[in-house]
Amino acid sequence: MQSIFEKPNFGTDFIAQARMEEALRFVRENVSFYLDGKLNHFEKKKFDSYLKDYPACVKLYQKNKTKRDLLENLIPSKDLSLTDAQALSFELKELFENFRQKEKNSYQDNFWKKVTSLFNSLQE
Amino acid sequence: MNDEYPKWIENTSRKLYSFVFCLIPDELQSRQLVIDSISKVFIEHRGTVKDKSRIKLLIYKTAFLLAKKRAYQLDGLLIDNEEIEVSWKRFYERLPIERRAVMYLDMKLRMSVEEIMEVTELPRFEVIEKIYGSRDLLIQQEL
Repeated sequence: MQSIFEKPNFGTDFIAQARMEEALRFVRENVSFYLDGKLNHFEKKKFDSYLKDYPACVKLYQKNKTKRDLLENLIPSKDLSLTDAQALSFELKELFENFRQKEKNSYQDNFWKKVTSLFNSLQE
Repeated sequence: MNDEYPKWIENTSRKLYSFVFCLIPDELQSRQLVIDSISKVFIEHRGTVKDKSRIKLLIYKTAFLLAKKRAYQLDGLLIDNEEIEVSWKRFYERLPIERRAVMYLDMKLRMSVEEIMEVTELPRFEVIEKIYGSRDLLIQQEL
């Protein structure tokens, strides 16, 4: 009869998990500064090494970069503060969900119209 | 105990065994401790506790208390056990049993601070210190 118990592999397993979680935490907290070029030499080196070693960090970085590119394209002035960018991205997410639920067929067109008018009002 | 419990116990035992092995790195001792802690909780709380998540917490709490007593009795014998890998042996030397328990409950079972407090009977500040202290140690540990 096969045992239901499996002997755990703790050593490498725990270390690997702790390191990956630390890498994700560091990338999550610093991705905005990295994209703004505000990290110092050592922090940037650390950030780059995490991107090299952990696919989950690359995914997180790319998600943030796409969001940033989108915001930069919509706002030509580019002097958007981090807090503003976070507030806007939250608002965008809310808007998107709202439109997707309410207007199933034409939500994309209407969503972008709404976003454009939102950014126009912010720039005034 | 109704029909769904044997399957639930089997699933709970798998993770419980890993937890106990983390505290007492010996296969036979760990298996015995899994059986003892589940039996103890079902005997003591039969009919009084019906919520499975509550029963699970009580089982982990009992396992931790029993493991702590047995680990002290077996102190010195366990570290020479060939069943555990070298890197993990270094942890046993550097991490006391409470710290290993908190580390496992946090990292592998994703228990909340409140749940870890209940299982280990440690105050909040000690649980939080042990979570972050252990993570730091793991990150700095050489593979």
